[in-house]
Amino acid sequence: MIWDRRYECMEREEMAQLQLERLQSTLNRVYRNVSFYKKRFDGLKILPDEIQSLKDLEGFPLTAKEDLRQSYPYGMFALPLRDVVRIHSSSGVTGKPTVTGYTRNDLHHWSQLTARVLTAGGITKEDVVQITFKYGLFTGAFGLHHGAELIGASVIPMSTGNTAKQVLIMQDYKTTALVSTPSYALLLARHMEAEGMDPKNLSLKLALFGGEPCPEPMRREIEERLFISATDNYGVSEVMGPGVAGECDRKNGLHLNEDHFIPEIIDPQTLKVLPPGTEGELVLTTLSKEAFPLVRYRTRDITSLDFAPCPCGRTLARMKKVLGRSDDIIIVKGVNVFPSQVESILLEVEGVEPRYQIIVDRVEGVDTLEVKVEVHERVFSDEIKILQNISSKIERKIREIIGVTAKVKLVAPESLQPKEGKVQKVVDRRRGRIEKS
Amino acid sequence: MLRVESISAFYGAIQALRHVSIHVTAGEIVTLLGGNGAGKTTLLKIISGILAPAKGRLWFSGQNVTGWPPERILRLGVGQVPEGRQIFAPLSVLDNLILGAYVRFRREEKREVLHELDSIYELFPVLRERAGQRAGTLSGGEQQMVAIGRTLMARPKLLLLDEPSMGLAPKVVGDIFKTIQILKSRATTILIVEQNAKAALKVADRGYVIETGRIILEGETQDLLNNKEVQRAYLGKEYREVWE
Repeated sequence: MIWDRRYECMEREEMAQLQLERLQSTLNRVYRNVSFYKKRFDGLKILPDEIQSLKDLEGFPLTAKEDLRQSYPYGMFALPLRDVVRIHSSSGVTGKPTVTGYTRNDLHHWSQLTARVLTAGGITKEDVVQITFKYGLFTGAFGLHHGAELIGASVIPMSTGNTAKQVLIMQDYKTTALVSTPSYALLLARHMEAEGMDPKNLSLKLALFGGEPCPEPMRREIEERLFISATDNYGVSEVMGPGVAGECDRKNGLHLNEDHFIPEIIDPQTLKVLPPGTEGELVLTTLSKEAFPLVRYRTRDITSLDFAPCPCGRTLARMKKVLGRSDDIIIVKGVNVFPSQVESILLEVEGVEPRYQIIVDRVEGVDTLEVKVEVHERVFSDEIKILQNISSKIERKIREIIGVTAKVKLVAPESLQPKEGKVQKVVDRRRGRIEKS
Repeated sequence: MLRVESISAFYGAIQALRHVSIHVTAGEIVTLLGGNGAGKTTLLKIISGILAPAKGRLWFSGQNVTGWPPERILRLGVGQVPEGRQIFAPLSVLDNLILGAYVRFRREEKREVLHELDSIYELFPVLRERAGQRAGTLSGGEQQMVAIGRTLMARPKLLLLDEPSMGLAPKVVGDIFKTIQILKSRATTILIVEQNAKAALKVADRGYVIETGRIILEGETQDLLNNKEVQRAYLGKEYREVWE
């Protein structure tokens, strides 16, 4: 099913025209209404008038999360606050939060876009949708909630937590579609198994994942354990929230809603735009947002774009599942390594948990990569040979898939100490040393 | 059907349009809203070939028609109803209408043109009554009907309307826009340039807002009606909250 054929299946030439029109008007508006952009464009002597083709967007400056923080809270709004009907913000764990506003039109578009994503994921008005994202300042829950209502599905706004109750409601209310993070879906599956419940007896048939990367092996595992079909979707809080891109049932990339966002892929180091198909950092420009337009916003997410039409009929570009964040990128012996790649390898190996720590060091001028991985309780007490087998298997896979040699060290369950609730996934010991030498 | 790509235009040293891009799909009514001197009429003149763009491209039905003279563009199916009507005042209503079929007259049977005339009279019954009357003696609204009818006689694929409500009484404006609605139901593709945003947004599917030669908004009619900037600038609405 396709929610909005007119735009999702638009001829590429028509799409380019629409993007050009919306880009020109967006740039004219931000230049006129947002002092941040006016100053920045003036400083670089680049004017919105200079956009003659979509290619000219490359000449405009990038917007970083830091810029948003410095404009805290409302500095980058393009309209007075009285035109804004909704405010969301990021959690602000790593600094000042970023605040985004929505006008009535923005909310209307947002619902339309999440309706597209949900429809692509298989949801119809017949479905009972259980949303397990946190309702609050976070964009995830509200965004998908309104889209699901627009479709006409029955929405259960569960919010996060209370796994036992979630499962009970899922069973009693006959939930057919789950909206969650992939790790929470896995947790639900584990909980059901621990309680001796058979997920086969549930009405559940679909899941829509968001909020965190979902590596392919993880998706397969969840699909098998919950007997469902799961699709991935992608959003960026500062850009809109969910609704930026979503997978269709072909599961061959996430359809990016190009009539509302222009995607670009840049090299995170040189900041140059990369040709289609190349992996790099995703940069988004909003085309319809009134309250909080963004020009060339660096998402920090690493992906690539495929402009070939999809067999499902949509002509929208497909972005690859996000592989990692450009902040997390570790360059070992000149090879780009993402913690998420290591994670997806670990998910495919029997006997280990996807809890790990990557330690990068430099010994006599040569980079070294060590991966500490927690093993299952039952495996840990087993004989040393089995452990050796597991570690050499992981080492081989890292060499084959990522292309670097790593030393894998298996550690006891729960031995990687979390810091502020999260295990530090990457420890890079090279930095201090380079400065000394 | 129509694609305008990054058009810039000058009157001498004054830049009237700055990289303006718009499109009209077959069967759509699109409106271009903007105040005096925003560049609305300039854009229409470029579309109909009266004015050549300094930069940018113009496409009609997939064909690049940039720089084509007005008569060729007219033959391709772009008909413009000019601002201020510009009918031939000393001529009769009938002659005004028949002149509109000028491009078709030699190639087609006279009968077909007369048939077209009938359909115009159907659309504007009052013109049948006034067929012999000098066009200059008609009321403003009737003159506007003559102007629209004259353009329709060429059977355009795309109808360009330049300020059809200009100088007309509110009741007459309503009549004119009712006619536009009828044309829409006959699948005519229309681009209306208007200062009267309220009237134009009632019939349009989509719209653009142009200010000082730049497009600052594009959207479906409902989006434009909900847009606070449009409400403030063109619909005469302003909401002030108690706490302000």
